[in-house]
Amino acid sequence: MTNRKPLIIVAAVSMVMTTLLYVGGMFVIAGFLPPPPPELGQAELAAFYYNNHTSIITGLTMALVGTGFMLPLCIIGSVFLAESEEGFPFFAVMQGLCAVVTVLFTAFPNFIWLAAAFRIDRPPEMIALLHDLGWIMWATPSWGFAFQLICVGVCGLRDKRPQPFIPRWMSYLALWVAIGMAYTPLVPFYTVSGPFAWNGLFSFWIAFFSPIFWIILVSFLAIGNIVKNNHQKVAA
Amino acid sequence: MNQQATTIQAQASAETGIWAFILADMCIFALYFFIFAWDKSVHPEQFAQGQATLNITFGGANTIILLISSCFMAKAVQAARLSDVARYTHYIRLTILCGCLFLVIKAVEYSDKLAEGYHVASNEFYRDYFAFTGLHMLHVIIGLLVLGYALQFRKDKQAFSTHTLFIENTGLYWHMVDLLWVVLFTFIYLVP
Repeated sequence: MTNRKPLIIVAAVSMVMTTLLYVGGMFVIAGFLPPPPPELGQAELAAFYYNNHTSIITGLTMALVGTGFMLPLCIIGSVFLAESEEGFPFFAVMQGLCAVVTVLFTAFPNFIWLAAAFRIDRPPEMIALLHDLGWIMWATPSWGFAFQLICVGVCGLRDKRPQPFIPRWMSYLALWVAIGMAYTPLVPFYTVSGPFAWNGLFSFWIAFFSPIFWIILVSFLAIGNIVKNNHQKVAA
Repeated sequence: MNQQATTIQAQASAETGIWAFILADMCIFALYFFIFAWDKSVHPEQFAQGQATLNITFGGANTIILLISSCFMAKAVQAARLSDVARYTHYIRLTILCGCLFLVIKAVEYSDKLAEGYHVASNEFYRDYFAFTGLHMLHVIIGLLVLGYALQFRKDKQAFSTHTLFIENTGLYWHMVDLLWVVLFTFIYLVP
């Protein structure tokens, strides 16, 4: 079995860095989260980019670096999944590949918004176009992350070891979070705020925060497992 | 017989995880109902007009089909607890048949609405109608996939009894899907 302790440390560092850089960059500095309403006019959007030019570029660049830290976290997750699988670790590989997709689709919108902020003398309609493109790309393709959660959930439910890494109820919760993301493909239909728009209750608040809640919960459980295992080793 | 009854009683509560899933899922559906009621209070005329365009026959038929499927599912769980593989297979197949029938009727209903020019962004009523019934339909599809997997248990009669918990969990999920449809049907199709 892989020595879990260093992996958990790397995963914890990755999670902290992702949270600090991505959440700090997007929420606090750039002011991109919560997402601006989709009904904002072209002139208002251009003014938003013009007035917050430096903070947008700083925040988005920070967030971009933060997305990179998601990969080690997800790949370490795949290592633990592979341990629980018999034969070819299909779900571990699939989770890892989906993690790459998730990271790419989280990072790409930042490049697009950075391009919108790069030359601020662009016509407002071009800034609005890039802004919309970025948000549609950010909010719609959540299926990569949903498949990651499905892999974790299925592996957790199939794990027959006496001390599975993830408790079964967390696996069920992973599946629930994955289903909760099913609404995000509706985002391109709505140009005004509502529950399914990119800043809506289901497309943003639930689809964005329920996975974060789940990841935090899993991390605490994983760290608890490591501490418990260490205590058992010392006692032995 | 007494021993069987005790076993059934001991297994009756399934596992905590599936209850957590059901609770969480029902909370999400509770949010849908709240949003639907809120939108309806803001746009009463639009919702009355939208509701008038819905086909109650389709919705009602689907309600009856899902209720019958729940009955079959309960029979399948009962058969699984008694390790009666033949009865289990029979009832799981019937449940799957009902689920497929539900999807066919839903597809006809959706294509009718789309042909009439209504879609998910037409107005608040159709947004809620397509989104909420659509997510319920996704639950049915997931349920059918799980039932299809559970049907494979019949092939290994020796190990069949080890799958009882999974079958019970599947049964609970299917009953939840049925219950949610009954509430959706009442809210969207019936309540004026």
